[in-house]
Amino acid sequence: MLKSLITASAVLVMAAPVYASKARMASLQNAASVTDTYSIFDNPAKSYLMGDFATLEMGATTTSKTGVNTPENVITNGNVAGITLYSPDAEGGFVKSYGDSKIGFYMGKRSAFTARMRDLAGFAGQENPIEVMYAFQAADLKMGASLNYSKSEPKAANRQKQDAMGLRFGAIGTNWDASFVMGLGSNATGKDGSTVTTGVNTLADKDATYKGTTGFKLAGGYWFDKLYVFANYYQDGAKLESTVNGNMKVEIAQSQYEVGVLDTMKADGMNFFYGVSYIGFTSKAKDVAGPAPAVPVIENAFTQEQTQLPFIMGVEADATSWMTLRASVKQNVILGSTKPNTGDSTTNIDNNTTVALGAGMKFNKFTLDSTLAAGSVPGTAGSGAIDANNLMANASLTYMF
Amino acid sequence: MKKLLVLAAVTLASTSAFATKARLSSLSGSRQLTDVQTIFVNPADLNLMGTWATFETGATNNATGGNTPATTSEKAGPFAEAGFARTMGDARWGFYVGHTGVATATRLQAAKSAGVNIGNTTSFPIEANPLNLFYASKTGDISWGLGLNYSNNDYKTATGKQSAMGLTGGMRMGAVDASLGLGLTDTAQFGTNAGETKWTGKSSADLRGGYAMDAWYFFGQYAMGGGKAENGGNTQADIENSNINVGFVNSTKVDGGEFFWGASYAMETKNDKKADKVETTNLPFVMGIEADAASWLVLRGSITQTVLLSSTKTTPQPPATAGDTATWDNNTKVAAGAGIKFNKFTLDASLAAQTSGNINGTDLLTNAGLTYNF
Repeated sequence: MLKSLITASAVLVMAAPVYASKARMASLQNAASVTDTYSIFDNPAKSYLMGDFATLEMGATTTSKTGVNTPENVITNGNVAGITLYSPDAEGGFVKSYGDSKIGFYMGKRSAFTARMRDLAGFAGQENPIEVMYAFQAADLKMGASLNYSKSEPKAANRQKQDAMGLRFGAIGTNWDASFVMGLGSNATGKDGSTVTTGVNTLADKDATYKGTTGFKLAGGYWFDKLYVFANYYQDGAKLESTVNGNMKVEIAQSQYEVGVLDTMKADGMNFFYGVSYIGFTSKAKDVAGPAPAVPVIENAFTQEQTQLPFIMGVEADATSWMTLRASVKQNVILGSTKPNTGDSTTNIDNNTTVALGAGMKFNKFTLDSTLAAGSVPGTAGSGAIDANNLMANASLTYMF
Repeated sequence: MKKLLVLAAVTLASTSAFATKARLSSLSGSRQLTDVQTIFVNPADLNLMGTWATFETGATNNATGGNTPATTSEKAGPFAEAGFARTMGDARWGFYVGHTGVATATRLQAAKSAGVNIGNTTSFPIEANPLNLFYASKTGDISWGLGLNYSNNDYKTATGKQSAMGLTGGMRMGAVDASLGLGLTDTAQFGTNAGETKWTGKSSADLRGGYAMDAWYFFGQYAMGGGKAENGGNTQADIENSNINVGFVNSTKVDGGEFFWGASYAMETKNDKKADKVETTNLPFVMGIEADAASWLVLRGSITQTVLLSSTKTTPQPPATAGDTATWDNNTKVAAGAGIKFNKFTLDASLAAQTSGNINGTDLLTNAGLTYNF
């Protein structure tokens, strides 16, 4: 049935832009040189790099997970064994032009840091988040800003109240881009029995509090002909207080920098890229107070130093007039060390070669994007199998106006 | 099958987008839409369509087969239903079977309040073998329509008996549309002799109106209903429901389709005088798109989510104290579907991926419906 539909569509559908969705970015290792509908969450001004669109990411309604697009480079904790931080959540929105300006509205998008940190510590994730975006241009300079907001107060037994808010600013020129993302607050209170799944330790009881500390991300990139050089720095953190195991307090502070370069080669309907970046990540548990044995557990769980030199390579090309295929690989090379816990010695990065595959099927102005279940995407180990039960995952539908 | 599909893709012509439950579900039931399914609210919508026959696939929705758990007020679908509409001069008439309405929904709500399962001999039978009749015509600039729904059966066993009947009327005139649905009878009972439990529905009404102004559509709705369940003179459930909904939708025409977004404010009260009174408010935002993906394929999708305002408050009956006013849970929901045209047939379905993100041999299409446009 599906095969027949695909065969038939090959005859009929027209080529469309390949801007797509989370699945596309995951299939291309979230390469910094790739522009996508999802790029507006790093830099709202990048909405000018594509046409107007409406996009729908399919998946379940959840509160504590982030989507497959969460960049692997954003490391929030090294001790996450047994915890699933990714799921293909439902989210979607649109960006439309009004004169020279662009206005966007998006629902369901969550902060990667907030979602991960709260999930690890047993606090509720962002509920019903919304994002409003506005972008405008002046000559060759395009600028954009967006505000995201989420607040909920269930007032039921074992349920938490939470809020989160943030701002994004971005600008792009003819061969450069820059962005600044800033958190304006992130709070959660009380225990939610249904979401306490932490493998670290249960911090959140009914009197527990989560307060985000100063968080921001500064990023920029520059095109030297076909060479894209980029850098970014983020820091984020949270103060956690709990009466579990006595009066525990801890402040988590994390920061990460990344500098990298990507060489790109573009031809009709094809984009090939490869490059490396150097990443330095630090997570610290500060001002820890409370009784043993909980304190060492918390300290170890949120203490880590890591450096990486990941090499990525990817290709995206029109396979037919109605289908785009994409594939990528990522692996740490030569340099890389990790010191996962307090008192541990520094070791090399574990084997981490991943290959991701994806496809985008064009139906007139629609694009149905997905990852191929055979490959590895965040949160899923590649099976190598393509069959009736392992075909496409993380599906999304995007309409380019 | 494969050859048929490929040939169809090349040869078939574009048909009307009017379709089925799957289509409305994929578009989050946005209020500006007209569809075969909207004639149950406003029969005047028959005048907007040609002649058609539609078939919703699913299990038989009978009173003894559902066994809906007591924890839900909705039966798990999809259920089988079908109907057709024909022209008669300038008028239209239609006949439909299997479509249940507010009577079934309220009985399920009562069963949930009482904590008993529906669809067996321990609770009320739902509407069985229901039928709907429609007639629509035009008088001057006014397009109007009437509908009648009816269901009556007596199992002559402990399963009991039930009866439900209602009338709907609707009109469209230029940019204005309005409709009124009235429940005329709604009774049910199960058990025998001293163990007999009776359900008596209260007067129900569903008044709706809308006004289209360029790309904008403004709408409002007031609905009320309820009923009482009694056993041996003792009231088990005494339900009064009311619902007010006002909102707007902005629609933009795109190639072979429509893109829309909008918001509404809904205030709902479900009061069971023998249990809880639940008052909710909600401000859901909706965005959706439906467009031709190929000459033989329509794709559609939508997203809904509560934004900024929402509240829910449950007040137990005295002497218990009222609960706090709380916000709604996370409810971001993406729906997606496809309509595949085969000449004058349209096979509509939801994409199973809408809740899992997966597309494979066991997760492809669901809630399938087949419509033939004459």
